[in-house]
Amino acid sequence: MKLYFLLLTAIFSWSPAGAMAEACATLPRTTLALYDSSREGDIRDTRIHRFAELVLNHLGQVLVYHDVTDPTPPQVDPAEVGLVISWFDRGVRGTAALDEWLTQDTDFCSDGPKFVAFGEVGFWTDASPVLSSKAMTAMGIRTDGITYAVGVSATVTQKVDGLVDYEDDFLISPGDYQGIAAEPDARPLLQLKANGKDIALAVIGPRGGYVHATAAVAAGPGGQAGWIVDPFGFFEAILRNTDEPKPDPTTLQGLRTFFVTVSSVGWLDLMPGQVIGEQQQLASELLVKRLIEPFGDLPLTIAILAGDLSPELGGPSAERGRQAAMQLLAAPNVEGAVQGFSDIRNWGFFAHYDPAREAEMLTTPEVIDDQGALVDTAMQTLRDAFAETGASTFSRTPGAPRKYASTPFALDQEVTAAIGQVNELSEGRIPARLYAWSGDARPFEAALEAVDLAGIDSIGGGGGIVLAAQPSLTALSPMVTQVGSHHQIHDALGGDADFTDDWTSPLYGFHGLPETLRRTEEPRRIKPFHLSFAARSMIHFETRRAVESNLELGRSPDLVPIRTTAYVAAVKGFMSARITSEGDGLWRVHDRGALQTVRFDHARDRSLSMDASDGVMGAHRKGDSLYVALAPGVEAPLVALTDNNRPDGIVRETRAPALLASRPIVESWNRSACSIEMELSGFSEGDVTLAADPRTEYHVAISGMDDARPHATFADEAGVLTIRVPTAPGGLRGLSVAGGC
Amino acid sequence: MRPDVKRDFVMISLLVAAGALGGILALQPDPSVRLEAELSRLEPEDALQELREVDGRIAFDDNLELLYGRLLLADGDLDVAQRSFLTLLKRAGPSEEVLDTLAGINATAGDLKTAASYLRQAYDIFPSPERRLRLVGWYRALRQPEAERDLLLSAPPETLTTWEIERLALLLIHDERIDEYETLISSLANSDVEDHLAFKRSLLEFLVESGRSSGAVAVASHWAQEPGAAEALDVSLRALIGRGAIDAAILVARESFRLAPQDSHVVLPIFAQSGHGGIARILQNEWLASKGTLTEAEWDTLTIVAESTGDMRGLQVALSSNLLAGAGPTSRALMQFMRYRGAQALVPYRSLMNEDVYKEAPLLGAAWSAWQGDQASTYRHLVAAGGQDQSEWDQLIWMSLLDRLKGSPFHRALLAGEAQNIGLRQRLRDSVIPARPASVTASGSADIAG
Repeated sequence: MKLYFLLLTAIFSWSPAGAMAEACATLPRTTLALYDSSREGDIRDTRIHRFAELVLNHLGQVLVYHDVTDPTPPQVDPAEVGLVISWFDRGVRGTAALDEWLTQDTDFCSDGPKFVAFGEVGFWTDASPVLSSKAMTAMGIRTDGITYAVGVSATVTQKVDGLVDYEDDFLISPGDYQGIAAEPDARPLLQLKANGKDIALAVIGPRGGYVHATAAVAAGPGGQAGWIVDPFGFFEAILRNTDEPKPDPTTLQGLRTFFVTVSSVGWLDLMPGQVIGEQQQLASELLVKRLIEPFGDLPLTIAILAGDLSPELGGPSAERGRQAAMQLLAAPNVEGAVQGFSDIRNWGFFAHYDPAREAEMLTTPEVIDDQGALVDTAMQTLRDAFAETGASTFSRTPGAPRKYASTPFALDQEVTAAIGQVNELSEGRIPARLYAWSGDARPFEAALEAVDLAGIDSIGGGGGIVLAAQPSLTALSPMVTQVGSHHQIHDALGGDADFTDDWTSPLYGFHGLPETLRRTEEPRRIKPFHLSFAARSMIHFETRRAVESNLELGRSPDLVPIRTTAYVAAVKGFMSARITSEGDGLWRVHDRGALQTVRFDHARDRSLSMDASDGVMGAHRKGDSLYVALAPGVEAPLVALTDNNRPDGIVRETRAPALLASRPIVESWNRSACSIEMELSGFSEGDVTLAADPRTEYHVAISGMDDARPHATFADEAGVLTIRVPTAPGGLRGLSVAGGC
Repeated sequence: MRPDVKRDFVMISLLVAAGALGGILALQPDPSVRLEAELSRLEPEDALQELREVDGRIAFDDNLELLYGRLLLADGDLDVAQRSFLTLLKRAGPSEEVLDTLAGINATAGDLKTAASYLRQAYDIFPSPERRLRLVGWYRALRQPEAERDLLLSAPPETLTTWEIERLALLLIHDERIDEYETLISSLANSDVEDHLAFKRSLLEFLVESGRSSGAVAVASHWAQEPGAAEALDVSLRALIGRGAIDAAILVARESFRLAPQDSHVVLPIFAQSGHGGIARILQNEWLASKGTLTEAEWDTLTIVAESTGDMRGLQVALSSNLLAGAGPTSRALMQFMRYRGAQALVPYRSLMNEDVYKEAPLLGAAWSAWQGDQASTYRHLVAAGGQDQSEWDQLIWMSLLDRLKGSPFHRALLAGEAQNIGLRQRLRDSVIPARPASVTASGSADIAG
C-alpha cells in the first residue's frame, strides 16, 4: 500500500505543468537569432553575430541561430528563450514551422520571449496575423505599409541623449523609409519627420524594440563600423535583467584573467644575423631564448604545427624547430597546443575537398620567376620577409589553401594524427591540451567535431582590436560562433597580426595592445586580457619587444594569469550555466562547469551576503558592477545579495574573512565561522586579498613556509587583509587564515 | 748645412707635418658617423642600448637621430621616440616619414587628437587618398564632423571614394549646407565617376523634393543627349516616378523621344511596371508614331509592355505597320498574342509564321500547328519546346496543347518521355492516372470485400 502511495505521489508530482514550472524558474538566457542564409551565408558573417552578439553575451545571453529558410522549427527549448532577434536587410518570409513555433503559447515561459528587430521588419509584418501582432506589439511599433521619401528637409524630432550617438553620430540619410510609428506605450529613442510624417527609427517597446538600419550601426571605410544606438542601454532596457546575475568568463576571483597563446606561424622563419657568418636563429629558437626563462612566471600556451617538424616538409630547419618545440613543451609554465598538420589557411576550401582543384591551384603558380625582368620592389621585399622554406606551397602559390600539400587533405591527419605527433615530442608525458585553429580560423562542423572527439579543447578566430583610431566595439568578436551543432570558441582579443596588418603596416603597432586592453576594461570589462602572437613576431625587433612589453603587463597584480584551457573551460561554463531564482535576491547557479564568476550590474547599492550564500568565496566591486567569486568544486552555488552599499561589496555576518581578489588561483575553498582555508596554484607569488575586520589580527599560515606556522597579520583601516603567497606551476599551496572571532 | 737652410728645412718639415696632421684630423669621421657605422653591426637591442648611453653626450646627426627614433619606437618607448622625431622635425623640416611616424606614435599611445594634427600636416604637404581616408576616419573617431567635412570638401569630388562622397553628403545635410550638397551631387551626377548613376538619382530626388521639378526635367533631358542615355533615362524615370513627379517623368519621356530616339524606348516599361499602364500606352503610341523601323531591343520593349499591361495594341500597331524584325523579336512578340489571346490571335500574322520563328519559339509553332489541326507539326514543335526552359505559364500551355493530341500516337510518345524539361516531366507524371491503384490499401479501399 505504501509502495502504491509512493508511486502515485511520484506520478502526480511530475506533470507537464510541474516540469514547465521548473523550467520556467530558470532565467531565460537564450536569444534566438533569426538570419537569412540566402543573404548572409555563414552565421559568422551575419550582422547579429558581428555586432550584437558580443553585447548580448555581456548581458548574459547565449545565442542560438536559426536560418529562416530552414523548413524545420528552431532546435531550442522554448522555455530557455528570453529574446528573439532579427536583423534583415530586406523583407523576407519565414517558414510555417518557424511561425508556428514563435506563436506557440504552451511552451514559452510567462509572457514568452521579447522581440527585437534591427533593419527591415518585413519578416514580422508579413508573418501570420498572430505572430505579426504579437511581435509588433512587443516592439511597440506599427506600420502603415507605406514607403515614405526622406530627403534633405527631414528633421530629427526625437533623440534620447545617452542612448543615441553612442560610437557614431546619427545622420539623416535620404532614401525610402517604411512608415513605422511608435505605439503610445513605447519609448521612441529616435524619430524623424519627413514631409509632415513622423517616422520612428529606434523604439523600446513594452516587450522588445526596433532599430532602423540607419540608426543601428554606421558603416565606416574599410569595413569599420560604429554603433549609433547604445547597444548596452538598448538591450538592457529590453531584457530588463539588471538585477539578475550574468555569468562572466572574463573574471576570476574578482580580477581580469590573463592568458597567452603563441601560434606556430613563422616557426621556422629565420632571423638574419647582423654580421656575416653569424648563425641565423629560428623564430622558435628565439621563443625558447627570449620567453621561457624571462617569463617563467607567466603561463604560455604554445601551438605547434606538426608538418613544420617533418624534414620532408619543413626542410633543413625542421629538426631545429623540433628541438625548440621539445624545449618549449618541457617548461612547466607552458601548455602545449596543436595547430594541425598542414597549416590550413582556408578551412572553407576543405569543407568540400576536391584534390584535383587543389592540385590545379598549385600547378598554376601565382608567383612567376622574374627571369631577369624588373621585379616590383615591394613584392620582392615581401617575399624576402616571408621566405617560405621546405615544401611550403606559399613560395609559389601564396593564395594556396594550405602550406603543406604533398599529400591529399585528411581531417584525421590534421587533428588526431597531428595531436599524436605533438604528444610524441614529450613521449606522451605532457599531452597537448588545446587545438588552435590556423589560417582563417573558420573551421567547418566536421573539423570541430573531430577535435571534440579527440578529447581536447579548441580556440581561434574572432578576437578583434579596439584602438583610439578604431574605437568601436563592433571590431570585437563575441565569445563563440555557432557552427552547426557545435560552438567554436574564439580568441578573446586580436594579436600581433591584427595590430600589424599581418606584418605589412608598421610593426610597432603591436605596442598599441594596452590601448585595446584599456578600452575593453573601461567602462565595462568585456574581454579578458588575451595576449596572442605568432612565433614570427620573435624575429622582428618591434614585435619581439612588443611581446615582451605586453608580457610584462601580465605581471600586474590586477590580473590572474591562467592557462588558455582554463579560459576555454570558463566560456564553456558560460554557455552551459543555468541560473534559477530561489527568492528575492537569491540565485542558484547550475551546470556552470569551470565558470567561476557571476556579475551583477548597477549594483552599487547591493552587496554579497556571505552567510546567506552557499559555495561562494567573496565579491569584488568594479565600477557599478559586483563580481561574485564562486567557490571551485561546488556543484550548484547559491548567491545571495542584500541591499547594502558597503565599499567592499561583502556583508559578513560571521567574522571569517571573505575573498576580495586573488592573483593565485583558488583550487579549493573552505570557510567556517572564524577561519578560511584554501589551496592555491599559480605561476609565481601573488596577493590574496581578503575582506576582514579593520585593524584586526589574523593568524595566517602558508604551507611550505615557516613550517606552516601561523604568523600574525593585521587587516588595514579599510578591513583589507593582504597576504602574499608564493606559487609555482604544478604545485599547490595551502593557506589558512583564522581570527576575527 | 747653413743655419738658415737648416731653419728653413725644419720650418718646412713642421709645416708639412702640421698639414698632414691637419689632413688626418680633417679626414677623421664625425663621432656620430663613426657611431652609426658601429651600430650597424649590432643587434637592434644593443644598438639602442648604445644610443641611450650616449644620448645627450654627443650630438646626433639627422641619420643617427632617425635611427634612434626608429629603435625607440620599435622598443615601445613612445615618449622618447616622439621626442626624437620632433627633434628631426625641428631640425630637418617636415617629411612624410617624420610626420606619419609622429601621427602613428600618438595614435598608438591613444592620443588621437595629437595624432590627427600630425597626419593633417602630412596630408597638407603630401596629400594622398590613403592619408585622407585615414584622416577622415580619425576625425570621425574624434567626433569632429566639421573637420571631417572640411577635409572632404577640400578635395575635388571626383577624387573622393564612394564612401567619402556619401559621408560628405550626409555631413552637409546634417549641417544644413544644402547648396554645397547640391553642388556636390550635381558635379558627380554630371561626371563620369563610377557611381554617377546613383548621384543622378540623388540629384533628381533632391530637385523634386526642393520643388524644382522643371529643373529635374532639364537635367534629365540633358543626360538623355549624352552617351549612356539609356541608363540615365532608366535612373531618371525611376527617380522621378519614385518621388511622385509623374508629370515631370512624362515630360522627360517625351523629350527623350526627340533627343534620344535610339534609347528612348526604355522609358515605356518603367511606366508600365510602376503601375502607370495608362501613361505607358499613351507614350507607346506617341513613340511608335515616330518610328520607321524597330530594333530588336525596341521590339522587346513592346513585348515587355504587353506582358506588363496585357495590352497588345502596341505590338499590333508595330506588326501591322510592317516594322520588320528578326525571327527572335517576332517570335517573342507573337508569343504574347498566343499567351493572352490564344492561337487564333495569330491569324492576322500568319504571314510571319515560318520555321525561323518556330525555331526561336517552338511553343508558338506548336500552338499554330494545333490550331490548324496539324498533329505531326504540333508534336514536332512540342518536342522541341519540351527541351527548353519554360515558365509556369508556358508549361500549362504546353500541357493544353498536349491534350489536343490525345488519342494519337504523338500523345503517347510525349507521355513516354520526349520532353526533357524537368517541370514538364513532373506535370506529365502527375497527369497520368494509374489504371488501378498501386496499393489497394493505400487507395483507401477496404481490405476485406463487403
